Amino acid sequence: MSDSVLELRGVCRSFQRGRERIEAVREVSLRIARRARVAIVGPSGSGKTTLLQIMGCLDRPNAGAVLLDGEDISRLVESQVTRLRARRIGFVFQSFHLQPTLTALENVLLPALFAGNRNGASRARELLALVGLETRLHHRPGELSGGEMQRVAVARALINDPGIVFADEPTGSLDSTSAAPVIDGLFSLAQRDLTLVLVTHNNELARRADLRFVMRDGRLTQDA
Amino acid sequence: MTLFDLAWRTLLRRPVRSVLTIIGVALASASLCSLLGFSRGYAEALKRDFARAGIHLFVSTEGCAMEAATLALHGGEVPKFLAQERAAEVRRIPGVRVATEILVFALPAEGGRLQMFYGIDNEWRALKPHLKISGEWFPRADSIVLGAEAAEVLQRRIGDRIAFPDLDRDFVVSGVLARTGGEEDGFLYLPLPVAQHVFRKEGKLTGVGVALADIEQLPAVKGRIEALPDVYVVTSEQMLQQILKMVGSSRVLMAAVLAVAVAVAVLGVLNTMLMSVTEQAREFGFFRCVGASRGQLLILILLETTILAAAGGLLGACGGAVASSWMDRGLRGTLPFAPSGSMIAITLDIIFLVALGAMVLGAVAGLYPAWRAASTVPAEALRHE
Repeated sequence: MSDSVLELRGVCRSFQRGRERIEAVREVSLRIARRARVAIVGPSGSGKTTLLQIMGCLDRPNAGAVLLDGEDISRLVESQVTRLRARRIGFVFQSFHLQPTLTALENVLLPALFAGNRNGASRARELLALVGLETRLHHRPGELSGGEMQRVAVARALINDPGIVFADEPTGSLDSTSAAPVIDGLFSLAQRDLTLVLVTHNNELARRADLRFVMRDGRLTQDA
Repeated sequence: MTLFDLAWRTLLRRPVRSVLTIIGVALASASLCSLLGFSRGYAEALKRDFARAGIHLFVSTEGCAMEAATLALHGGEVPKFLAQERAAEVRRIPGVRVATEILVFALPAEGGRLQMFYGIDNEWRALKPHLKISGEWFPRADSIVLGAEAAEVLQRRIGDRIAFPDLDRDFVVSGVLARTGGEEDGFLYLPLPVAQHVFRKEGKLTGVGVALADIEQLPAVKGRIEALPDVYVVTSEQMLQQILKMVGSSRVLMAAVLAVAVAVAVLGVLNTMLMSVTEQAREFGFFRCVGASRGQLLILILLETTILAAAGGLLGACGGAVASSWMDRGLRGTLPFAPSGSMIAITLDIIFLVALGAMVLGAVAGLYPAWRAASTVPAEALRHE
């Protein structure tokens, strides 16, 4: 197996908005090594999130190829992509996406449910303990702070033991005090056999990455 | 956790909407349950009444089957009367086991009601062994027997005297009949000769009820009776079918109203689920991000609709069963012919059928919303954040 877990070759993605054609991602090529911690920074509207969605199999490029563990995912059919998202990819979003009627533990178990993993409860408890929420297992999102909710989301991203986690502005909705434990949690979990790809405006978060890229007008350049 | 848990929790997020949808389905289901219960119960009650009446043929003057049925079962006033000698002639026909002579008269009573008087002979009583009496049948010439409801309305007990302004004599209550649930509860019973005398109809009858020794002989006996002058003969089966036919037309109207109620309930479920799916578009996008397949989203929405529909269906069916006696009373006043006993027979199989029907219809109503949810494109759903 190749040492690069993810590879992008000349990826382009454009959208039609009315009469205007928006080139969100232009000719992006990139290789991410296994266990790397990568940060993508850039101004709003530069195409970071679109690129992240393409890397995370949430969107398909108009041109170019995306290889996950050497497999060209743009050639996969929808059901294969769904399976891949369920078992090999984790996501953390800026707005947490926690289900208000489910407890922290149940929220963490959601991807396990979709992946058909019926024995995720002990793993979910373990992950929640790792992000410091062992006493909040049965609390609903309404009873948790913003930072706690994002830590639940971090634990949820890891429930199916994915090889790669994509985080889109994971601290974007948090103040600096709440963000710190989220960042710590994310990086401590990423120390395992896990690749982490972040899109962020948070300089502290970006600084902790091994590799930093800057996105501008749809083009990606490595940050010196 | 299962998809069912997730569907259930999602419904709990919008309790008012969920409850209102359930109520809509429940109302339609209760109506359906009542109609099915009525379809079955009415025919059964009617057959029971005919069986109890013990009459295979009813002989009157010219008329129709419906009029004959009303006379035979519930009494009623007719403009034309049968000559009493016809009863003797009928009795002589081979195959006739019993021929009971009946005279029915109505007098206006308080509150615009009609007081039904039933002049009967001993054979009539022999045909009605199910009627339980407290007291005695006519020990004296001035005796009167009251139906249970008539006794209550007139506030009379056994031994009380009773006078009617339109009749020139008083009576003594010799007996009160136990309640049957039928219209006969409201009747007043007199010995036939007394009734003929007080209503000045000596030698006249409203009709003759005929019980046969062998039901196989019915066509032959009917033909012989029809050969008598000025008679109209109708069989109990003809009366039964005539009544069912008349009520059948009311049932068509009820079914049409019910169809509208069911359509409204289905549209209610569809509307609720479409709103829910639209509101949850981002959530479905997120579910797709974390590995939910299109099939799983389809199942999730179908589970939500099925839970709503099943809850409404079961609630409505059980509610319909509980409210059946109340509906029975309401219907009784509107029907052209109301048999005794319960007219709405809601059994477990009807409850099961209605709940299952609601579930299936709910699932059908959920198909389009489910398809929309399953079509969620994750990137597009998240782009609107």
